[in-house]
Amino acid sequence: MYSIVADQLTKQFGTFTAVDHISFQVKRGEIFGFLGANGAGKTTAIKMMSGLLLPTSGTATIAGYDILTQSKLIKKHIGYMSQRFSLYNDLTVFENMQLFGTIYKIPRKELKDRIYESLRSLDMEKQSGTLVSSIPLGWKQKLAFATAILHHPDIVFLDEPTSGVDPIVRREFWKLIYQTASQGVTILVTTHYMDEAEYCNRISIMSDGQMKLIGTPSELKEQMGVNSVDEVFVKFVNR
Amino acid sequence: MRTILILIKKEFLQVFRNPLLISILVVAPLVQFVIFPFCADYEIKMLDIAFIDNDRSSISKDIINTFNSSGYFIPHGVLQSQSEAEEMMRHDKIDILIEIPARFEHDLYTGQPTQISSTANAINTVKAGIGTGYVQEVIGDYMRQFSERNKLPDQFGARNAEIKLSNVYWYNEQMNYKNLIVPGILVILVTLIGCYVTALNLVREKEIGTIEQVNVTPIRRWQFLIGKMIPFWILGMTEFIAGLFIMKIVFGITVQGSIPMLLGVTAIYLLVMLGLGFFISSVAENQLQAMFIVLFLFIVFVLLSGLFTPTEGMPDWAHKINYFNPMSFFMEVIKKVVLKGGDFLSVQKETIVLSVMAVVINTGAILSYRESSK
Amino acid sequence: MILKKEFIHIFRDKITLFLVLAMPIALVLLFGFTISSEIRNAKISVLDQANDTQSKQLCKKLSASGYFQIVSYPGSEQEADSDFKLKNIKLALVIPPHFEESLSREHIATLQVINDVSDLNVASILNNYVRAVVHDFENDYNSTADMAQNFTINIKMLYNPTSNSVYMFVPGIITLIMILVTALMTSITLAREKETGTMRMLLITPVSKIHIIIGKVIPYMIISFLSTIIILVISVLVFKMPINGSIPFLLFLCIIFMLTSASFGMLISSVSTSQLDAMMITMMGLFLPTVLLSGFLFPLNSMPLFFQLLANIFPAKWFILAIKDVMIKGSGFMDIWRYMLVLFLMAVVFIAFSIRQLDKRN
Repeated sequence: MYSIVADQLTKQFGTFTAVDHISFQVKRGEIFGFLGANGAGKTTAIKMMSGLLLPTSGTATIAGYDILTQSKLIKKHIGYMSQRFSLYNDLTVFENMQLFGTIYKIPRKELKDRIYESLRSLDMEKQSGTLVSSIPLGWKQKLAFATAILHHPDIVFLDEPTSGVDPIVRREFWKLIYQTASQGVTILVTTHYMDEAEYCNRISIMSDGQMKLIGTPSELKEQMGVNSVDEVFVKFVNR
Repeated sequence: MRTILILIKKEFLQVFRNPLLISILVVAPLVQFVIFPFCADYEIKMLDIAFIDNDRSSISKDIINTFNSSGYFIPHGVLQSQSEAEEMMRHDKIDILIEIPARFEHDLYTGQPTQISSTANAINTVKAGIGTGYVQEVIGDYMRQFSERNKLPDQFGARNAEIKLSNVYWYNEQMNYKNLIVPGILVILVTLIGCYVTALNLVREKEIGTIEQVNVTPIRRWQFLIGKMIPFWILGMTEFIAGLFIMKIVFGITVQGSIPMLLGVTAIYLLVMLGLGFFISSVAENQLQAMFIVLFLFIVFVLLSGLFTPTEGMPDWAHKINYFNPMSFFMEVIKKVVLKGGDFLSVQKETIVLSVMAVVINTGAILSYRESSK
Repeated sequence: MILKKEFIHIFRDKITLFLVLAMPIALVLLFGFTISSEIRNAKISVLDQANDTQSKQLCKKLSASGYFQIVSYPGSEQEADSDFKLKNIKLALVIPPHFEESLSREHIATLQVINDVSDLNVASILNNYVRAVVHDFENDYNSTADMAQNFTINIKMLYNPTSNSVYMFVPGIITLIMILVTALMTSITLAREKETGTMRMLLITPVSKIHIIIGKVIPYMIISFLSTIIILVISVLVFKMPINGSIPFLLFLCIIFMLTSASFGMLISSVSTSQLDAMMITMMGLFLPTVLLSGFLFPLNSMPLFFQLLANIFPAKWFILAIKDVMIKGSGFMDIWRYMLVLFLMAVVFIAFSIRQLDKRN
């Protein structure tokens, strides 16, 4: 049973094709990485799968629901964290989580428990009353992730969650991703840090809107005859 | 319901945490409301007047005295020459020049044609129009009295009936000029809160990207819009009520009609403006655009609403545009209820029109607000 | 280079560009056609208690004057009251019982004019109209004239013979548009650069500060100059507004004012931290005072002294004085150099202050 099934998914903006007939499947609990340079079409693909953008042609099934006809249902089962930080800066940590938790209709009592539990695991209990604008970027990203999984989604879309964050926080962030995936949540993550790609179960390399390569990191390394995903990418680009 | 409540809470938290927004939403309008009426006063209290007297008779002097004591004018004396007068007008020292011709008294007594010239600096047409009106009134009254005193003895057989006019003043017995402008400014402020602030607020979320985070949630668009609308609606209503108090305390204007009814219509009007604000925000791509669109509509609304200039003087097409101008309907309601003490019957038409507008514009806003883009 | 970048920005945002250029056109047309102190076909009611030949004659005369449109003949003051509220009448005339008889026997009759003074200016204008019509009627009735029959008042409207309200507001609209485009756009773009941090990047380049600022400001000055020319062309072609002064001098004056507003915009951006701040400060600190205190819509000399003094610190007042003189009275440099000097000095002060502010931050 696949969590994500994309079938010839395509998006055109005018004459420009941002995403060009991509098809792939992601299993439940899998960490699937989207790699590619800026402008390769990663964000557009994610936006289509999370219901923010309608595809020009093709379709996808997310958590068993069709993105063309059942986007309302999809939204209940996914979490999303965008490229830019998009929690409310002028609300406190707790207020942000409460806001989104309530929108997902988590019962009041349970929501409170979940928020504190999640803050405890992030080691951010003390910050619950702090305005988001005054906490450091790395923590903000972890917070955004925690907020995105507060309603226990089946699938989480992470769009360059670690850009601009220092290596230590990045490592912590990936720990969170692993934890979440181990609970059976499917993770689709885009990144342009090649070292992060090694952490994924499977990766795909996108370029000019097309999905050029797909496979586990070791498969790809073997296929290209190199030692790291970084080299896979360089070789791929030079090809 | 819980969703909407939490959205309302979020909006209020954001407003009260932003000192700038508070000052824009609450302090600035109220301060402006107290200050504006002193500036935005169309009353032409005192016009500067000067005379050229080529007659120097008792009648010409009498006329000049009548002008000086009429209370409409600030006299700048009798000038010696035409060129002196022109110089003064050129430098805006005088607004009106009265010129009495030579042999005026003589011609008047002998019934020969004669005329007094009144020259107004007409760059400001309103001022010139009203000033000329005063001049006609003063001279007209003087001439009537003059004729009374000097009835021609040989008008045998002619009828000599006189018609007097007595004036009664309704709806503003104290003849307070601020009576119209103050409620008018209140309307403008409420409109600004409703339209400007909401439009900017939503576009800002778009620009920052927070709206995207909301759009991936299963929230329904009407829920989201209502959650945005209610806080600003409450702010607008609060401001309107505060405005009514200020109107009473500072300017001594009491609402003549029913206050609950007035609040009811205001509530509907605010819905129209909030909806318009949202509609604009879904069209605009950034705050700058939203601001220009709002500002533009706003100026059109105010100009056509009849606050600063009587609608009677406007051409037909302006009247037609006015059918789509919510502010002109609301201004009517305010005039009728606040100043004239109108009951529901008198504002029934306006209320219905505003309600229809509220429904249409809000439906439009919900439909044009997209969670997913094409 | 920076100039080019800014132009690219502007032309990319087509909606804003369109708004900026379309707004002056719409504003001039609207102001031109709607602002008028003349009232025609005002709705009135006549409470005719006499209902005789003379009262009917008077009504006929009222309607024929073109000033009034009799929409109802209420039977009582209460009915008149509801006409004010429901039919939007602006005035009610009460003709007393036995009007004709009073005129012929007692040679005197008193008409009562009920004015709706919720709008005093409209009331006073209409009152004058009634007076004129009734006086006319009186003369007709007497079929002679009084002593002053050959007396007339000759009314001249100096500088604006047709009493065209365009004269009053075209200078005002030019001012508003220049402030909106130059000051607002300047302050917002500079604030945006600050918000996004690109300003810092520009500042560490070897380009001098003055160049950066000039590069940012000139495009908006050009746009607002275009808008000004559009407004002038419309006012001359559509509204037949004369430009009595020299056109190059007029444009030069506009450039001075643009410089002042642009420097005001710079000043605002130097004290604000975000676009929203800049926008709000411009609106509250510049736009509204301009509308209210420049003497463009509201006569300055009927304001309390405090506001009259306050008006002096806003550039708009000086510019409106100057541009009015040049356009309407045909004044030259010698007549208005004082105003220009004030505007120029303001610009110098604003620029000096904002450059100091820019220095402080870096």
